[in-house]
Amino acid sequence: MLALLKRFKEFIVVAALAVIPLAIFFAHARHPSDRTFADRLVLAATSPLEKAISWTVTGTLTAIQRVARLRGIAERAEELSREVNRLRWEEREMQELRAENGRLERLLAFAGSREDQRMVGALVIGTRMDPKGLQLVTIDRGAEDGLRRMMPVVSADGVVGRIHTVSGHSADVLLLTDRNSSVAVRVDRSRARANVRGQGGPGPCRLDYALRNDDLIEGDLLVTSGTDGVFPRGLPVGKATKVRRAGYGLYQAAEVIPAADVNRLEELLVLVTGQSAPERAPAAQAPSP
Amino acid sequence: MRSALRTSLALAAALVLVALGASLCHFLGGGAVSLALPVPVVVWLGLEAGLVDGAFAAAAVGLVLDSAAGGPGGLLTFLSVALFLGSRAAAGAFDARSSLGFALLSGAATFAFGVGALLLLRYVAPAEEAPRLGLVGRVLGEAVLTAFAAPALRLLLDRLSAPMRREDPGLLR
Repeated sequence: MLALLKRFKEFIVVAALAVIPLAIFFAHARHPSDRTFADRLVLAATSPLEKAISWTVTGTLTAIQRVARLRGIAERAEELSREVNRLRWEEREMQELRAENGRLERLLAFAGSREDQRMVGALVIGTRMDPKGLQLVTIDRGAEDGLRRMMPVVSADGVVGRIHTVSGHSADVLLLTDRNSSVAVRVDRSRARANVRGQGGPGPCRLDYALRNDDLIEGDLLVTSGTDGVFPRGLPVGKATKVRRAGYGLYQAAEVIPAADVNRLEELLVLVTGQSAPERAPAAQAPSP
Repeated sequence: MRSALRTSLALAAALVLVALGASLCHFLGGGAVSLALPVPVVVWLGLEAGLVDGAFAAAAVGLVLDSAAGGPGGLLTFLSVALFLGSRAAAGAFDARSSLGFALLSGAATFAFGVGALLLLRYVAPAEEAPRLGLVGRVLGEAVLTAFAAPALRLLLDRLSAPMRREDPGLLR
């Protein structure tokens, strides 16, 4: 008997491992009992594992969601960046418009101060200040708008120049700073007469024919005298600077800083004078103090 | 010694897989699907372990399953041992060592495990408490999902049990 048991020991053990649980199952199946110590042990062992797995999976899912959200944030940031660029551009345009508005207001005020004078507003559409040639700006008004040669051109700050050539819808303005440009002026304070001539560059002009004994000091405002047949009286031309009186000679010398900055011309007014200007080249003009 | 190690490994794997299965089911659909990840461990024991130590290990896995399932004690322990024996028998019938073979065997074992539990519960439970046979479809889904996961589990168990397979020093072949 013992030998038989020894021979089939393995089978008996395996059969016992199968049958005993089955017997327990049948014994307890109809009368479910409370959880045993082994059940609680398994639960105690698996619960932390489940928590750890849950934590890991939740953490991973959260990380994935965050990464996905970050991607969304990057796209949003790009979109906002484009929006910011667009708004910056609009802001620049607004500033530009505000500045233009200010200039036009000043121009309007200038025009309003000379109600008796007919004026044509014009925009500068081109600039040619070649040191080898004439100092010119092109405006968007021409013969069709009633412009003629030699008509004075001003900005809100003062004299800019005169119409040099006219076409149908545009005109070239010979600037005050051109070598061929000459404007008869008076010293606003002392009424002394002189002549302002350009020096061929956008910098200061030269004051000619100011008599040595005339009252002229640094910073004196020079205005048109109206005696050259081109510019009406009283338009600001510039301010005298670097006044020099030599020990001898008939005239004193000075430089004139133009009232209108020729480098920043944008909106101009053309004073429509009744008479047609003499058909002469500017270079041939004689000074007319 | 090796059998004790294998039993311990199977027990630990069953504990971890019960927890992993519960968590995965929670994230995969909150109970819409289920997984029986410890069943491939029993199948693996049927392929790798000896008769007695494998039966002990399978019983240990069954105990864990019984405790985790919360049903009448002994049912899943019995089924685990029966499954172990069935796996040993099936291992000779076809190549269960390949990934596909292991997956198919695990799927079939899971299905048999589930259906066996259903039938036994129907047999012992009062008519009003007996599980419906409609649950077989759910068992089938569980078997398919478990079959998909089985090759990975096999790989893991092989890695973990590699030290137990070390041959005795000085053994010549």
